[in-house]
Order: sequence, then C-alpha cells, then structure tokens
Amino acid sequence: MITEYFILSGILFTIGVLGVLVRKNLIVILMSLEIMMASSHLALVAAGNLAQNLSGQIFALFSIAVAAAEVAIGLALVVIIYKKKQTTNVDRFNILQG
Amino acid sequence: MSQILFYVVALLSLGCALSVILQRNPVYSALSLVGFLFLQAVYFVILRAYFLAVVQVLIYAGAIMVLFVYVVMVMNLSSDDLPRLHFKPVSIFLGGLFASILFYLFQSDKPITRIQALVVENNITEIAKLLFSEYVLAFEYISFLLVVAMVGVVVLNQRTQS
Repeated sequence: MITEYFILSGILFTIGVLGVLVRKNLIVILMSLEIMMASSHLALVAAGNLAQNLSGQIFALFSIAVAAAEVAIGLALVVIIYKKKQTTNVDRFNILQG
Repeated sequence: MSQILFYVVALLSLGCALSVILQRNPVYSALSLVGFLFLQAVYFVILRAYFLAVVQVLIYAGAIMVLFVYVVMVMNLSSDDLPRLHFKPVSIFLGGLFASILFYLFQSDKPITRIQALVVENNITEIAKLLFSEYVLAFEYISFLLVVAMVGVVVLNQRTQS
C-alpha cells in the first residue's frame, strides 16, 4: 500500500523535472518546482506512516514553510526581471553571456 | 475503500500535474496547480496526516496559489512569453533517464506493504508536543527564515522602484 505512494511521488517528481526542462516561461518553471516539492512532501508523509512516527509529518511541515519562503522570493525575482526585460521567456535572459 | 480512493485521486493528480506543464497559458497552469495541490491534501487525509492536510490547503492552495495567480495576472503576458511547447529530444531523454533511475531504485527494493493506521489518533496534540520539544530549534530557525524571506522580498522590490 505504501509502495504506491513512493512510486506515485516518483512519477510526480519526474513530471516536475520535465516541466523545468521543457517549459520556457519562468512562472511555469516555478510551478514545476512546486510540483517537485509537493511530491517530496508526499514521500515524506508516506515514509512517516511507514516508520509509525510523526517525524515525517514534521519534516513535511518544515518543508512546506521553506517552500512558502522560496515561492515568495522566486516570484519577487520574476517581477523584478519582468520590470527590467518586459518578458518572462527564459530564452531572453542571456545577460550573463556578455 | 481507501485503496480505490487512492487510485482515483492518483489518476486525477497525475492529470493535473501533466496539465500544469502542458498548458500553454500560465493562467490555466496555475488553475491546474490548485487542483494538484488540493488532491495532495487528499493523500494526506488517506495517510491520516490530518493536520498536514489542513496546512496544505491553507498554505499551498491558499497563500502560495494566490501569489502565483496574482503575479500571472499582473504581468501582461505577450505572445513572446507563451512560446509553443517544443519537446527537444535532449529534455525528453533526460526526463526518461531520471524516471528510469527512480523506477530502478523502487524495483530493487522489496515491496513494502505494511500498516495504514498511524499509532496516534489525536495527531495535532502529538505534533505540537514534538514541535515544541524535540524540534524546537528547527521551529525557531523556520520562523527566522520566514522573516528573512519577507524582508528580502520587500527590500528587493524597493530597490527597483527607485
């Protein structure tokens, strides 16, 4: 029963990785990162259920707080980049190439 | 019963996750992400992590999604921001490689088929006890991290105004 949860979270994590690799829109890339984090929370809670203690849930709780901070900073950076470049297409952000 | 519920929800959430990365318009992606994160809360309920389910709905499907939708709506996205999806062979290859590594890891393990009911029924009280005894330092660090993130966002956006 628990194995399915791990497999499912693996599939969801892969979908997130594919989203980061395939998409060009910065906001959608951030959303794919969210999918990856959420699938890892699922694995954490499933592992906590397997180990029969609450540590998995507590780690998932901390991870959710970190995800919230990450999204806030990430979206602030997206807004700043959009103000400078007027686009969110990552192909236009080649400023470091000189 | 919970087995059937799990499979139904698994199919739905896979569909939502695929829809997030396949939709061309970020607004539709954000709406699919709401569905995905909500279904994630359903898993937590099946796994008896009731407190986490509530937190998931409040923080993820509430606060984080409001941020996403707000940013998407504020930006006037042009057609340059919405390029056609092009699946380059190399990204498909990398994704497939990653998936096959994961599946190899899962298959090499012996199947785990234990337990469903968690020992503690009243799990909010137990979580609170653990959170304020064993994990109190991590708890303080998390609050510090959130303050740093908040100040960081404000400072970042003030710099660009001037």
